[in-house]
Amino acid sequence: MNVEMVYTCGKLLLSIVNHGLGERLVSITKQAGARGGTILMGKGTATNSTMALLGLGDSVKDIVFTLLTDDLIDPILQGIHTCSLQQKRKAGISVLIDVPHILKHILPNSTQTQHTGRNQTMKNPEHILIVCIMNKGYAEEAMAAARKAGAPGGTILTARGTGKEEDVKFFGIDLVPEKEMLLILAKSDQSETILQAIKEERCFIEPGAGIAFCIDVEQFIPLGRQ
Amino acid sequence: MNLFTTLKETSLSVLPVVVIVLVLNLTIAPIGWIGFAIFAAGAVSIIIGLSLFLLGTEIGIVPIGQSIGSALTKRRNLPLMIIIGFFVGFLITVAEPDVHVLAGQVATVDAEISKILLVLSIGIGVGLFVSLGFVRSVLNLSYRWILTIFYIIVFALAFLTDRRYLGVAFDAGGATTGPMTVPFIMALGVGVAAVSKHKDNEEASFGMVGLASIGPILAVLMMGLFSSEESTTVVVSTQAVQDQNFLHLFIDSVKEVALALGPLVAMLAVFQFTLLKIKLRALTKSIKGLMYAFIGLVFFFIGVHGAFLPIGSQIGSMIGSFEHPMILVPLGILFGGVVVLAEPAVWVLTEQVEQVSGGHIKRRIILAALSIGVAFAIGIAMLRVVTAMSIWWFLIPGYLVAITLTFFSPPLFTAIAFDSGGVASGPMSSTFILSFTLGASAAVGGNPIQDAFGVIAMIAMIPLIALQILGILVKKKEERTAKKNKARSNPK
Repeated sequence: MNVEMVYTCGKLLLSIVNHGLGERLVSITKQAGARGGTILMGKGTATNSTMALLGLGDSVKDIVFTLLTDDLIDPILQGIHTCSLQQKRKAGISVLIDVPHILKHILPNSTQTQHTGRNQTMKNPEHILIVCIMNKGYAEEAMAAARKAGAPGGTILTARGTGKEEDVKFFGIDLVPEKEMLLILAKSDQSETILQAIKEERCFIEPGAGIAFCIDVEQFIPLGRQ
Repeated sequence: MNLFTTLKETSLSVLPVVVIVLVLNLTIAPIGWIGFAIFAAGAVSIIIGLSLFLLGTEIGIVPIGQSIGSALTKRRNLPLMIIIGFFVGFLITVAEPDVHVLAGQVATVDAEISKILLVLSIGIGVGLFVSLGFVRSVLNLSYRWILTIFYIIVFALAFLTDRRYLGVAFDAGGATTGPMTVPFIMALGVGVAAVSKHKDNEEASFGMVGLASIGPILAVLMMGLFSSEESTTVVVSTQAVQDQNFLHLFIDSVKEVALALGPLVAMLAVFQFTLLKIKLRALTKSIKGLMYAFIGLVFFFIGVHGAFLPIGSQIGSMIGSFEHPMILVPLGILFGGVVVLAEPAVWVLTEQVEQVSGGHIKRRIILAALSIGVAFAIGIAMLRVVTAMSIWWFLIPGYLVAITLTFFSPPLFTAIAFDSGGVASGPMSSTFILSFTLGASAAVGGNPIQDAFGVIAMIAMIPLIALQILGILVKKKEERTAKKNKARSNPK
């Protein structure tokens, strides 16, 4: 195959929508020019503490990753703003994250040129995406701490760790540690307190049990009627 | 799970049955408006119960099962897994109310077999096969070969054993996997697979329930081998729960559910201190889940026993006494297509499939295949009611096809298919459909006991075929799309 690989810069559109709407979102972005998207399933935590107390209010979510090269950003954002999902009540959220390098296939002799590096630097992002990866069972606790510190809600993904030292064999199969990944979108002025609250959780006190990091969010797009 | 979406979805799956009964009420089977009001009230109770139950399994039973499965595997102690697998399977089975009903039925066939002995041997059967399920996951044994070998044994025994035991045996496979045990056993398997890095992890997550359904079949067939030759054959109606007193109904349902839930609670307590050590917040959530499941199942059973069972039998006998009883066949197809959607364990299975496959295998497509499959199954069962054909004309070719298909269908679908056999034959079919069949059969003038046994065996068998065919279709489609994509990205 005569394709070349180049780096280009762009954005990552990360959307968290109600289960079942993921495919619709992908088809909307595709109509607007995106090449495709990747959908995961996760669990949205209860949005208020009474529901959490009753054990109700958890919901299944689709998490959609769409990579956008610079030329696609405007048409796709336009497409999302005008799409049919906006008619639904609280369909989900989308955030736009700056991605300095996207590895991309192009046909040779194409007009696209290779360019790397950030095309613009953000000064003061309004929102921050907090990502925590921890051993299974801790995400609920971390979320409860975050909720107390003012986080509006979060999404939990089940995952598997690949940390080498933890892998053990059992009749030839590798046993892998179960992990949970917690995504919390918060206003940037709140992020400090939320992180502080999570930091005091047990999973982050024990070494090797969890990590957390923050990503600046360029743009926050609520989907659906709020 | 959001309670409101769940309520909406469960309503959508129970309403078709109500609509059919309403139409029948207005046309060929007038049960009267009081009868219909009872039925509708039962449907509301079932909808509420199903929603609460699903909520409870999602935050309670399934996480507990998965944690036990994972924690056991992480211990890296195969003998321990085998022993615990056996006890888990044994305990939840002997506590299952359906098993006691079944043992009672067998006792009517052969008075010399003790009921307790039979319950114990069914429990041992399930226990051994849950252990086998663990061994299969850990040693990565081929699921299709395990199935092939054990179904050959099943049919060999069926050939040797006392004929009276055959119907009951195949019924046992479907009947023993109740709404409380299925999610739990299934979650155990998913939990084991979650911590082991298989090449094909999705496939290893399922198949546990399918294996556990073989246990009771073998157990009952073995009993048949040792049964005495001459004994009186008494025909007794299988369901005696025709009590209309609401208080009795309520107490019975609470008792039934508590009995099934008890071992799960006991196991959680024991494992929590030894193996699991779940974090406090997750633990309280699981306990809440168990409570929701409990309340939900009580509502569900009240609706099923108080309304669906008597009305089902009434409709069945009305239509069975028609001049043209053949109308039972299309009606059975209609009922089969919609009733399976109200089966609690079906929801849990499709939910788990969606979760494990990351949304790749959609719930709706599995539901559609199950619906078509069970429609066929009940259609055939009705045909048998009318024509009194032997069930072996269907069971032997059916299982042959199902086993053959395991060699063509993608392994994931094979595992899901054999799980769905036990899943589809839940409380809905063993009450509403069974009583409908019994009523019809009595009116037609057949042998109700034989026909009743047949219907559950059919519901447990046809999904094996339907879902594996679905798997083959999905594989074909994927291959075609892959080819197309390749052609597109590689223009000449």
